[in-house]
Amino acid sequence: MRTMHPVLMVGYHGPDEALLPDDEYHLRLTGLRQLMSEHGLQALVIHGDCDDAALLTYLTNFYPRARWGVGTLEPEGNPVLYVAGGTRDLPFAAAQTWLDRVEPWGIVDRALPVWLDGLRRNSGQSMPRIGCVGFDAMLPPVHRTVSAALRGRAQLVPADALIAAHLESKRPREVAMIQRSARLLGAAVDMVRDRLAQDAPFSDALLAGELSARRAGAHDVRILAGVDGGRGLEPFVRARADLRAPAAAYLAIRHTGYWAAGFFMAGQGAVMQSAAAVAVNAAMDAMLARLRPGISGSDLAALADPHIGSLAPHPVLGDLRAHGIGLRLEEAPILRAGAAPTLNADGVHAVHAGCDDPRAGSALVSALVHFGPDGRCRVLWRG
Amino acid sequence: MAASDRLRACKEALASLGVARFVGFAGRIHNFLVGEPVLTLTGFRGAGDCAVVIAGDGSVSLVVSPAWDAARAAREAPDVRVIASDDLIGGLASVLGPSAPDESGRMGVAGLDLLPNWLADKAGALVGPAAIGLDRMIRELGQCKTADEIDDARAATRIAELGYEHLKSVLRPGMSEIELSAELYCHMKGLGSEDNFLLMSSSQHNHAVRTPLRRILAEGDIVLVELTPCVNGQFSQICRTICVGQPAPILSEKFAILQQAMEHGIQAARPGRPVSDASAAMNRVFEAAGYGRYCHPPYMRVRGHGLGVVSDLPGDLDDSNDTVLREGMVFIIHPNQYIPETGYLMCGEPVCIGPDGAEPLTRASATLDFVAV
Repeated sequence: MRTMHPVLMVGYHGPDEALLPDDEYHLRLTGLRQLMSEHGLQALVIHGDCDDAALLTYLTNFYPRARWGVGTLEPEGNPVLYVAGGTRDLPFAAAQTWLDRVEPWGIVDRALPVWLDGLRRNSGQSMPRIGCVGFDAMLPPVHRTVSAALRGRAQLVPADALIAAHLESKRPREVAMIQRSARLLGAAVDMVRDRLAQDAPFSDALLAGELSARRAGAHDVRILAGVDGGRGLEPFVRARADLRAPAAAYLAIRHTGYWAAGFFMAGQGAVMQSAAAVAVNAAMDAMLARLRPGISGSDLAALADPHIGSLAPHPVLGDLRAHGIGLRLEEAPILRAGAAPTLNADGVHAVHAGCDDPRAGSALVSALVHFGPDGRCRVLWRG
Repeated sequence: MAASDRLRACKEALASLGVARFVGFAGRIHNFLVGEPVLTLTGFRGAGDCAVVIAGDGSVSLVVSPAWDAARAAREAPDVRVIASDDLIGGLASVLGPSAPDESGRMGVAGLDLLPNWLADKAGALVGPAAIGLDRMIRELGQCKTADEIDDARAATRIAELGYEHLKSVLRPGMSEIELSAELYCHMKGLGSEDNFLLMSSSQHNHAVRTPLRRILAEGDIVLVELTPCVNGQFSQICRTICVGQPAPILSEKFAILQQAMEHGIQAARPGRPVSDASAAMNRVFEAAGYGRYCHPPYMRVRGHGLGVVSDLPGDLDDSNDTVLREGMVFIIHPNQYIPETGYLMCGEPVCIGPDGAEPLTRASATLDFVAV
């Protein structure tokens, strides 16, 4: 779900050896190197920025707070990270990660060719195959710099789809991290509802939820608040007197790199039992009762839509039914009615239901789910 | 409205350049040191990639993605036509019509470098290789703030000052930096700040300011804060230093150097003079105090900088910046400095250049504060 990107990720995001110990990162590296070997890649060049740094974070714990970073990965040795930002920021970027080499972005145009020379020697390939991750998302000046440094010296192989598929399957510790984020999410949503129950204005209640998450160590919190009776959602970027509950809201919390997020209805009174709210909750119940690995967006639609009936899809969701969640707010598989992707057995997924009708009202609800070893659906959070 | 004033000025500038049509882009990533053409010309800050189009007949359209954000765009940019589209290129093509790409060289473009590369390629192809790059023009359009923007800067400054007062009221030993920053961030959001480049860190000997850690505050810590709230897209910033417990005399002694540098910087920042004058004036104070060798990174970054998002001008306050200061420019002057005896200290005020020089937007200048324990 698209939210308003802040100019700086303020919350803490440093290494946590208790939650993500060194051996976890080495196992991740091993898995990725195996993937590289299977696809004939002698190296990866990985870009991540403050909007999306999934693979960089997966491998190194590093997450750019305001700019970007590029990492290089070979079959041997630790990755090297080049981080954009001022001189003063480099020690703090280095402190975020377990890597022993974190370099300033300013040297990348000279460093990458030198690195490539070494790669050619080590691999015995005059034109090594390098998997390129995140290149499409680079800002154009960054793309120009990196492309110029690599062009003519290597075969550049787009690797985003390959990596996205690899990251779809969550490692056990990743599931644990998302569970932690889901607990923070649940606590924040409870805080919002508690404040509303005390007759606090909707804006104050949302802010209280955000504060609870930030105090608990969330390093990023994004909120969309329902407006116009919940028919629309807007980024909740500042306190606003015009927001009214009951309404839908969307809360996204990132802790230790992993997101938990979803829609929930906030408020009390008759609207919470509106025809729309009843319909989407029934739709969600129906989906959760039959959720299984291999289920598609069409399958979810078949489960949910009988309960939604003639009510129109909510404009924020459109035909989106479910998607992966983890290091990105919205990641593969993306399940829409009529589309091919399916839920995988090892992922963590967000499932959504929503509708919008002039008479029945508007409602949105989400659940975060994971499949256990027995294939049964475990609900990590429900809105 | 600031945006409508800018739009008028932009149309005049385009006409003088012989440019018939203009497309300005903004991406989903916001950076308060980088101007955004869409915000500059419409007052709308997008959650997704978006574009503003000035057509040959002077009509203005705003292509907004995701489509569900269009209602907000219509409210925040009431004087423009809003096109909702989950496909920015498709929406833009529908606005530009069959005459895109323009072969005549009479189309201007700005903000392509704010988009992700794949989208910038498509957008560039749509406007055509003959399109004239006008990023500098947009930056210069926004360099002098309108009366509304100066009011917004004052409002953002007030939020920063109130935030700082709140920090002083809640700060206590035993709190973590995270807890304190969360309190501060949400307090300022509650006061109306719609974004915040908030840095807050502590140490008994700081080397720079950073984002908060889990560090627990203790007596003797020196807490550095850089509060940068935003009102209607206009950021302001204050830099402050506060001690947990009574500060040692040497801290007061060295902080006074920063305060003196601050005064000299403000005095030197005058309309018609280059930005480098202010930077040099501050550096001379440190040099006179024997810290000349510390007047460069990593011991300091810059002596101040512009405050976006409409424009980053006058840019960084350093000795190499010859940008001429003009009335209406809003930026921060901050002689933040590493002093070997005390560590990094911070002191900074936002100013607006008036006819007689730099006018601080704060009600009170930085002092070395402390919280009694």
